[in-house]
Amino acid sequence: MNYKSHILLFFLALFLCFGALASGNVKGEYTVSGYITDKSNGESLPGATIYISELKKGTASNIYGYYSISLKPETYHLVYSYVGYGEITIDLNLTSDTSINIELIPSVKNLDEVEITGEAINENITTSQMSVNKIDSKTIKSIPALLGEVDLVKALQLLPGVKFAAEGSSGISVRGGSPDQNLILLDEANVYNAGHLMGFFSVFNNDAVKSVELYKGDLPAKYGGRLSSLVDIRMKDGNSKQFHGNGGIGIISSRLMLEGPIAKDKASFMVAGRRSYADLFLMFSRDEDLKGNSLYFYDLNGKVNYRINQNNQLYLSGYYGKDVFKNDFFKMNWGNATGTLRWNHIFDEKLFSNFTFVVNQFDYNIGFNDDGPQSFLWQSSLTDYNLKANFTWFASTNNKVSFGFSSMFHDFFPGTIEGQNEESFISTYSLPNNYALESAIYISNEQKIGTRVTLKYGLRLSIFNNIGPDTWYMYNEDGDVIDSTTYTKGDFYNTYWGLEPRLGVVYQLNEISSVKASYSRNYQYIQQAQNSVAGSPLNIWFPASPNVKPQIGDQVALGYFRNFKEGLIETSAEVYYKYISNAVDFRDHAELLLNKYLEGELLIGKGWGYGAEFMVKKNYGKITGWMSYTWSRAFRQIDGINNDQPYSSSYDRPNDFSIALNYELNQRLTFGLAWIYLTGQPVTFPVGRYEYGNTNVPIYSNRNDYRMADYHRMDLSITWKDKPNPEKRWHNEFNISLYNLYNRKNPWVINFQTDVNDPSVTYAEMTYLFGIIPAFTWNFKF
Amino acid sequence: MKRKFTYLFLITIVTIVSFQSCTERIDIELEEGYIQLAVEGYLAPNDNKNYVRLSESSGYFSNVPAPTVSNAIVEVTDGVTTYTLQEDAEQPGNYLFPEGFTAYREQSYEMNISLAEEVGGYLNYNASAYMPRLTDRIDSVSVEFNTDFEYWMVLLYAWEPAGPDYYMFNALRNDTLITDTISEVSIGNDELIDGNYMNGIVVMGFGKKSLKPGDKFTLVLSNISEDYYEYIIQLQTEISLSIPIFSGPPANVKSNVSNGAVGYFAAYPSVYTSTIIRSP
Repeated sequence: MNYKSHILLFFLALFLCFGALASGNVKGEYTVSGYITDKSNGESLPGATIYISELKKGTASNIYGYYSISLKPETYHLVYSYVGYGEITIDLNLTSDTSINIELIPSVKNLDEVEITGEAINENITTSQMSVNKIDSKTIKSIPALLGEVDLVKALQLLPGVKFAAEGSSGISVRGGSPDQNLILLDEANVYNAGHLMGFFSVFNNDAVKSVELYKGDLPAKYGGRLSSLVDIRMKDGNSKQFHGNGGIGIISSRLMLEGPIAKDKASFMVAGRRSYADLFLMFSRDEDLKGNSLYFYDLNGKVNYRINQNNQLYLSGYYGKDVFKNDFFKMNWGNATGTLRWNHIFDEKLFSNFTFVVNQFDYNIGFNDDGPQSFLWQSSLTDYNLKANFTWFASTNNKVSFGFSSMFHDFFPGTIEGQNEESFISTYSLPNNYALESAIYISNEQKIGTRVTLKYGLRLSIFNNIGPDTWYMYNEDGDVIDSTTYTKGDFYNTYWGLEPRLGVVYQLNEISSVKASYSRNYQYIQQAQNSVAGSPLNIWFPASPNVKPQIGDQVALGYFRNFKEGLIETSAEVYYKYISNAVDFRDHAELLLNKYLEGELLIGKGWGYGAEFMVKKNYGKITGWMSYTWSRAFRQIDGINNDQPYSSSYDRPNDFSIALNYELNQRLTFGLAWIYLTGQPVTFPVGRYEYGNTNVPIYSNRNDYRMADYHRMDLSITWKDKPNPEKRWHNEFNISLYNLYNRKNPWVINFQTDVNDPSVTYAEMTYLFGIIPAFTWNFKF
Repeated sequence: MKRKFTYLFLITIVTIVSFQSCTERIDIELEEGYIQLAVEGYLAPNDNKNYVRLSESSGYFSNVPAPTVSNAIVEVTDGVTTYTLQEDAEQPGNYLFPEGFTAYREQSYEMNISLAEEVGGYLNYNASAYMPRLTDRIDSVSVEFNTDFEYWMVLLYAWEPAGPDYYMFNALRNDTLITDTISEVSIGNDELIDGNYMNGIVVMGFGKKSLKPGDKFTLVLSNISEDYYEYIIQLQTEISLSIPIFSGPPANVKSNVSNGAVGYFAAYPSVYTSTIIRSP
């Protein structure tokens, strides 16, 4: 299919669409629009609500805090509200298009005492988006963390439908999907490897994070490219009112974040850095061999934004992080780098736009430290250049249209090993770069019908091109090369495209409860070569190609949402079914590292899963937090694996119970509690053995026929703050956390071994990672 | 070679992970799989190791030596001559080649087994093996002690012939085999060194106590087929510790014997090079 004709077609469709909608635009209406921000620091407030008492209708601000609503010229009470902030009511006599920027004030009082008017709309009830969870950085911080290292990925793992890939891993499995099926965006930039220290900590420094939203399969039309979820992480914009900083010293790392205005209310900055000192840790190791090693990570986040005028705002943000491991002999490092430039432009009150340019890279280097003839360097990277434009057209009170495009150029450098010395006897082993263009155009509308029904319907057209130069290998059934074709530079030698409908409907039973349903289809064109459960930074990403069709995921979901006590308590229940075509898996004993013929190791099949998720969440008061329970299954059937029979996916863990609670005893003392329970991980165990070469060789059961013992763990944290004193600028906070409070020995892996003393005796041995681990962190704020 | 780099990396990470982790033996109830014929056959004339061993697979926790399979008819043919193997009276289940038998390089051999009673649902099994060429332009071998890793490293100085080759390395200390289980055998391919002079490439490593200065050390280099190389890789993977960060799902080790039998029938030539270990 010709690429250019696609674009032409799209703009034609867009134009037609617009004509139709524009004619539906009611004449004699005026628009109220503006930004909603936090008065204390100028941060925009996405998802803040505007409620019009007279109409019993409302809207919510977008991710940049912008809102727009069209109304007939009358007198209205506009109620602006956001959880954790005092409400503001504006009396407005609407006679022309009006711009109102609102600054909401965070509630200092204990929220139990805040008067609730009941005027605010219940955003979670009315929004047509389902299967979504939002967590802000304050909530993330309140959850007890491993070694006191606050981690947003670990917070996500406590949400319904989300499980860790393996204990301690910063990989997540959403609704039974694999970790590479999650689109992890940091300020719109792809983060391909979200783990530090082999995944035990995530790469996101919570000090720099504003909020994270998790979309479980039902992605807005704006996003695509992954089957299971979108993890949309937004960095803080930086305080535009006054200079502030915070930081901390913990047992794993030290942090410092600084933010402040460059020009008051016009421009601000935020920088945050973090450096671990696990290398110090190793110095205290009992093992002499470990003492010469150094192992650490660091990361930097930075952001500046500049409000040119009411209609134009620029944001520039970036991330740079590295993990370093070295000793006298060997060195290794890996990390992500991202850069995002965004321009918000308001064409008129009804048309909000955002243009984004992103560059992101993940790379690793491994080599010997000496320069002898054996020394080598092994490198690999993946770089993306991404241009996006998104438009939101607040067409009328009842229609909100979103449309735009995204085009991403992938530069895959799967790896090369080369000798580092003239006398080197290592010939260069190199996997050539390959290139691909992943583009999408989309349009969606959120339409209110009457006061009870909201529809969301959107369509995303995704197009994927493999671009030369490249050599394409043809494989036989056994994965052996039988033919090859070479393509020249710039040759668009292979194209896939797909239509991805995103549909949703909300039926509001009343003001506090609703029923929602959704259907979504996603195409995934790039995936990770990973067959271990937890994954490592060495697992490269590889694109769809003539041998690898894009994976396609379909998901239907149905949910019931109900709020109690004026939104104090939110509850939800969702059921879903999902189906994956062209699911990718790997042959037994596949060689995934530095393999020129990686595609020969692939096996293609299908996957499916279903589940029910329940959640109760308390938003404010002395006790806040949530409890969730998920029952779910996830299966795969792939010819060539498990005798072609269906098997449980490694992420199939039927029962999942999580609690995350925060108890504010008084203004100075806060307790955090987390408890997690998961059905044991499915595993393949040996059912027989034979002798060869004086060794017992295992003969295995069917794939994932057994399970490890169930996983459960409780964590606790206590935070003690300075006496609140508005006169003082410096505030201290001390945090004690206890990971695995009751010292549960959760199996991380089970190995089968032969007894050293009697070679005819074999036994099973469980490895568990963390017993009870206390940690202490000192945090400060100024 | 590539595997070596990966292993180095793995060892490092395993050391770091083990810093935090603990292990304990646990009881697990396992079903018993059905019984299969296990074959361990060698045509290794330079090693004086020509025999076929037949046994049965057993439950994983059976905890007794594998039952041997006796009274089978085992024949090996090079296409011209067929040799009938005789069961060893002292070691039941071991079938020996007739006196004077020898195998040649760059030659295929086929083995046929007829059992007296069915094992694994079949009476007849067969397998074939190709004996590769031999990389014999070896200058020397040296054994050096690496103080960083506290490890004895075996360095090889030799011409690597052009074209794909797969290697298995065994070791003798004072003329006694010290790599007597397949887990201790070292293997490699020439993907990164094809056709180059191997100027002291590390081919094996031994713990501090395995060797000592003054020992006579003999490196046994065997050229094995690609398929046997894969068999050993798979076997060594499945019997080594698995860690969730790197290890793929467990999978059965391949076999070159028909009808669902397990094990391998291999043919390979070897060359022996000795040195006296000097003080570090």
